Amino acid sequence: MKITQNKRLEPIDRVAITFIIFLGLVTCLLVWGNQVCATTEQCFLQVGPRVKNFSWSGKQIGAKDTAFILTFDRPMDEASVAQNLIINPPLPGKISWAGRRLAYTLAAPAPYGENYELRLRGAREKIRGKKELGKEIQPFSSKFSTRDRAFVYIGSQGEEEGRLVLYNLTEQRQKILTPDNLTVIDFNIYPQGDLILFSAVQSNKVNEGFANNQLYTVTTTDKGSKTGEIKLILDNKNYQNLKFALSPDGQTIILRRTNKKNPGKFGLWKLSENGKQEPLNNQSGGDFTIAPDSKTLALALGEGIAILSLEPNAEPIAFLPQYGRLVTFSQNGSLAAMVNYNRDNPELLYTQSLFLVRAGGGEEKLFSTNGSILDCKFNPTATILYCWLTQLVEETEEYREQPYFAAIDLQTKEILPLLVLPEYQDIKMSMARDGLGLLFEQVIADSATEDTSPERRIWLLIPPSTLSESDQPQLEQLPLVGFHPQWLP
Amino acid sequence: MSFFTLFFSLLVEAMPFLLLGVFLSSVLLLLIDEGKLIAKLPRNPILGAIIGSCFGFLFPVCECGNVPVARRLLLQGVPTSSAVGFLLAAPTINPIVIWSTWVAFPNQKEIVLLRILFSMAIAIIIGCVFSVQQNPQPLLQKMLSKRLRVPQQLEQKGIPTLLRGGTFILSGEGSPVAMTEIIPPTPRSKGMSLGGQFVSNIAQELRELGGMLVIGSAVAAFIQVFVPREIILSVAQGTIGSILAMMLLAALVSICSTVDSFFALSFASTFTTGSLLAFLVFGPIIDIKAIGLMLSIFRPRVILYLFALAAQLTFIFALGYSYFG
Repeated sequence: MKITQNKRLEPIDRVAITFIIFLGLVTCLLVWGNQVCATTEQCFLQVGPRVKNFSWSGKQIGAKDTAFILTFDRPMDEASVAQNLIINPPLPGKISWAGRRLAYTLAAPAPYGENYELRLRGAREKIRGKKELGKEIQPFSSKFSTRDRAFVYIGSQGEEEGRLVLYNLTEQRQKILTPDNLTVIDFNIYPQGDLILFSAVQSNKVNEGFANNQLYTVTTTDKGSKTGEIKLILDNKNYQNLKFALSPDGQTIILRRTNKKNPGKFGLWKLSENGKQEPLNNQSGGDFTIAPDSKTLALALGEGIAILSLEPNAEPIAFLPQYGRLVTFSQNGSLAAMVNYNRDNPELLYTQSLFLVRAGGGEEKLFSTNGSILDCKFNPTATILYCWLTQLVEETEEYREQPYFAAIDLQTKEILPLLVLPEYQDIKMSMARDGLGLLFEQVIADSATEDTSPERRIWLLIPPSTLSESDQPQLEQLPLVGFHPQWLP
Repeated sequence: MSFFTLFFSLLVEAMPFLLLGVFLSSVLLLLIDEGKLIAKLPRNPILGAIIGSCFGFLFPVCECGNVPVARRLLLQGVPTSSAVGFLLAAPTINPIVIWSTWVAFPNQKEIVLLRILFSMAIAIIIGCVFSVQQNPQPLLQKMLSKRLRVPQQLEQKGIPTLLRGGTFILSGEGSPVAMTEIIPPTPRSKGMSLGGQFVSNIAQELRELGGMLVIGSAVAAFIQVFVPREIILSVAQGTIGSILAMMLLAALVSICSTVDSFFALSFASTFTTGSLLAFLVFGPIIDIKAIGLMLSIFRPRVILYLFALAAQLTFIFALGYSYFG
């Protein structure tokens, strides 16, 4: 009797055994599907390896995007992937692996205004512990694009006068970003290119001077007819804002301010992303530039350059007494171009020397000139330094400085003059983040009409692809009247 | 040497969670009114399984701590579907495990999401299967079924007394009344303070479950010494092989669900996402060490059902993800 009771099936036994049999059948079906689909090209089951994720799929990328990630659903044979990965048009770069993830780091920023296609077919699965390769990957294809080439300048004619103008070079379209009641003095672009920080005064108070400016941001969309969205960042109630700089990461603004009630109280202030304002409480100094690391500041101090922390009350990190001016940093911050005015060397007095200073220590003299070093910019890979320089022309009765554009090969230190300009005034350049070209303004003062303000023209200079005397740069005057052109990142 | 290292590492890793589980079980015993708890739980098997699966948020324990709590829930008369749902889902569906998986796989959010989804689905399905068994006594070990305090009247209301089991007293009006309906509920032990009962219950459960944990850890360590991981991983060829290998590995290494994502992370570069999911879903449900603990509640054939159903469902979900995910 007891044995019969034990052998009697409970409801759970009946249901569980039935369900286990049913699941067994489903399992067999799936396993059979795996066998069948392994030999069939078109199959409803995805048996072979495949790309699970492509980080740039369908995206519009900018200069900040230096690498993409391809994630596979299983370990892949690295050589077959490297051999079959095609980007069209080609974007040279390096492949590195971390398990099932492939990282492709671009050798140089992708040229703007292009559509790209990434294709992968023919790569094979890696089988653990075996030399022979596994199944072939399911063909993968995806598209991405780079943002349009665009830059911003301050207009100086007609309805554009004193206003920020966005010019889309790819589509040859321009749009005024700021309202007509604000006259823009200076601006910096946020790293994503979606916002611009600018200083401006009310247009009806321009006569009161530019020191009463306030800081605003404006959005940069070039679609639609409306101006960008304006937001006041810093007013001028208690302080005059003399100069500002936006850190390359867009999180900090450094300002030189003076107290309106006590003009003797002036210095550098830090304005954080959360709106917190703090005085840096260090020596005031002259011109300043925030380094690409967004943590340090190069400040002209006396006859040298001080490297300061962006944290208030911090001790100076370094002082470089031999340099009188910081010209530019490379994009990754590993190099800086600095000018030595040679005041301590009687033989080189009245000459300027350009030095290449490495962040990790060490410096190299590139050249000395009896003219001037106006402005320099590194190319994105920091292999070439482009400079506007002047050459002293000694004519019969007067000295004249002849401006010219030169490329300096940082490997060989060879200087190649590429272009000569007849007229100039204080040339400032902006290098495109993809390295396409340099924007600069040319001020043409008409001596016959001294009362009128000088005409400001914007030029695009595309350096030659190779540094040789036979390869000449392309110089194009853009149909725009304005100044301070800056490429969107 | 490696046996003892593995044995003690498993024991040291699991013991705090077992203590936590025993602690929570004792809290449940003393502070929760089982009548109210059971009355509030849905009778619908699917809802019961879903609610049971979500208990993990209240009792964040891994697969060692969930056994005493599930045992207590069964003893308190919680429906089988809810108790089984809790037993299978609680090691995964709890904030600590979700957070640790999130931290281990920051770039693969689908692993976190699918781990939760698959674990919930498996717990609910198996909970529903177990809901067909109204009387939990045949599922439980004999010693435990005697301690079961199921208020059967809840189950048997509406059923003619002639068809009910149990002891009945013929009342003066000639109608039989179940003993359980007229005997007042057993008062909590007199003469012992609430704290005393709490400590006594902790000691009793630790004695019963601690022993099983030691045996389970010893078996798991023994298998790992004699069946090295390399042998298991060598079968991991192709989609199916890698899922099976990772399920086998999960059962053998018996690593706690709170830290298993970091263990799985070391395989992330060489195994498919489907097989990683199989490891993360199957490991917390079934492992050698927890089987020992489960034997303190269920009869062996019930554990076999749990194991077979959980393994089949995990395999189907993981393979399905590999095919269609």
